[in-house]
Amino acid sequence: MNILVVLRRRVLFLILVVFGVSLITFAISHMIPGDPARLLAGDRANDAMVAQIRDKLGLNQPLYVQYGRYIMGLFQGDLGTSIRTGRPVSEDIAAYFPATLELVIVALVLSVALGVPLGVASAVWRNGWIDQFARTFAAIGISTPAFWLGLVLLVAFYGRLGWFPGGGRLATGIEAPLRITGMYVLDGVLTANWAAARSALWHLVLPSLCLGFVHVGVIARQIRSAMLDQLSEDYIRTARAAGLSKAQVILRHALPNAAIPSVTVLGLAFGDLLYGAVLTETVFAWPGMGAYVVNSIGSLDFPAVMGFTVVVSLAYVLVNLAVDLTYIVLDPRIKEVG
Amino acid sequence: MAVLSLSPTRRSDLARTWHRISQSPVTLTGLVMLVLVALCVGILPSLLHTDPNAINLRARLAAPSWAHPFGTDEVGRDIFTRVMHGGRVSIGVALFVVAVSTSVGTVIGGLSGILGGRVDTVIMRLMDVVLAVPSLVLTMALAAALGPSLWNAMIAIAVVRIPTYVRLARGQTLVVREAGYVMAARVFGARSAQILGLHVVPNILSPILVQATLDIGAVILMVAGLSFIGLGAQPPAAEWGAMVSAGRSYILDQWWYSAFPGVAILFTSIAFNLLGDGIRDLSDPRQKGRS
Repeated sequence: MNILVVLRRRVLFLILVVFGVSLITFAISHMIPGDPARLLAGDRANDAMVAQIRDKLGLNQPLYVQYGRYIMGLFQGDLGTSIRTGRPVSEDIAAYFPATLELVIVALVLSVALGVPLGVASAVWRNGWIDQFARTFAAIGISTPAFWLGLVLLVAFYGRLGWFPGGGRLATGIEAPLRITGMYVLDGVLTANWAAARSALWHLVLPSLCLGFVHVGVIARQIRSAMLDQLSEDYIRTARAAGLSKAQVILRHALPNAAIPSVTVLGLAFGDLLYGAVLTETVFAWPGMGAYVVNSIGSLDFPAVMGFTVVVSLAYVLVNLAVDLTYIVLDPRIKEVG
Repeated sequence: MAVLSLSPTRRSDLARTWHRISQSPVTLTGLVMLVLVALCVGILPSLLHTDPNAINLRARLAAPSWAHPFGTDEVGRDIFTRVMHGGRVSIGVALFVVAVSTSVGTVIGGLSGILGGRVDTVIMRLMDVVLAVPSLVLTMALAAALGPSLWNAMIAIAVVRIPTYVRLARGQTLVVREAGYVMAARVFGARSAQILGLHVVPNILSPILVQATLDIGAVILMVAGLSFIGLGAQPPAAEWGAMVSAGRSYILDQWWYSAFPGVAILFTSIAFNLLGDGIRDLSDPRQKGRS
């Protein structure tokens, strides 16, 4: 199957998903009890002011007209106005998104760095103690409530041992680096602001460990399963018969092939990490999109909650599209046969 | 007496199932953990006759002791009692949510598979769209829109989980609908609803039940997560996630407040996940030792 054919099919699906997500969030927004115009106007507004806002938002129009306006707004990046902050939701999300992205990326890197070796060892020494450990670890990982783990890490490493900071992105007294990407570690490195980069990295340790912990087990399980498939293949036996060492066979032949199907897990993990970030950011007072949406929920700020849902859903779909395309590029069999 | 009244075949079936379970350490561990949870959550509160909301201001934020094994909270409520009672809420909610999403998903998926054609295409594209959105984020948005309450959180989780079962049931139905007995029922003039209820559902239940068992642990976590951010159970309800959330402000000095409800979530979720994994292995020999 040609990559362009796959791309066209996926882009068509992407459009369908965008419409689907917009329809879902539009429907959810209209399920909210109460009058959005009154919420936006505030408690002190009189009826005339509420009516004016209702007119401005088009809430008197038929539903299909309102949906039309909503979808046109989405395509122009207009996610509405936040009731809590009074700013456009897109501006708020743009301000908070880099902090969440930084956290999610570091958590993903951590879970891959720990999960892949664990999965490989688990498959190579199948049914041995390391395999039993990996399986138990995976079971504990997927069963652990992230918000509770965050509190445990805080008590142990901040409260008792004092090794890591208890929250925020930077230590007090350290200025944020010049904004290039909004991700402090990267911006600190790019602007040679080493103090900020070091402090940002230090503040990332506990939240990213908390967020990544669940996925170490998921990735280890996937790699183990894929490795077991590869290790039973004929080419592995041939490679061993040709005199290659066990390490060479595993690292140079089995692992790259096992990694290909595992790439899709990363795309799926991205969605879970974004939701996990909501809980983790709440525990660690991390000023990202997760904390923003939890505060918005508390203030019944529905434009902000729906804006978050749209942005996260789109990011998830786009990441999965990129993962699928990477999968096709990496696996020549799919490219040719489909 | 009940065992004595079983026919020899039924008894040997049970013995075979028990033998297979006892040969699988994972399943056995999950089962033992679940029995423990059932004893603590199902029987203990009834035996102790304690009130999870009983306030004792003289014992505020007391550390774990013989009198209060898990300590007390800011108004002197016994955390042990609240964890036991909270289990009834958390596990009850998870079982209800999984039962609803499994039933609705199986009926929609089964009908979609039997009817085929445009109905099938429309239903499946709709499900594809919902499945393409991160389910936890969608659940949160839906729960937020419905308003913060345990009931609304349950509805939100159930609705978002339905597509998984629709897809699973539809896939299984496509296999079963080609079977001779379904063809025969159709030739004899059976209606779609009859075919679904009498011939399809009983034959596609096995993989759906395995998925449901695996889902219970995930739903317990989801309910707790929603309660933690204020979208599930509301105070003073004794629900595990809400209890962890309430203890947050005291975490550095009164660690027991959040710690024990969290351990209860972890323990119960592991029990269901191990049992689900074990049942999956037992029902599919190819999976044995692979997951």
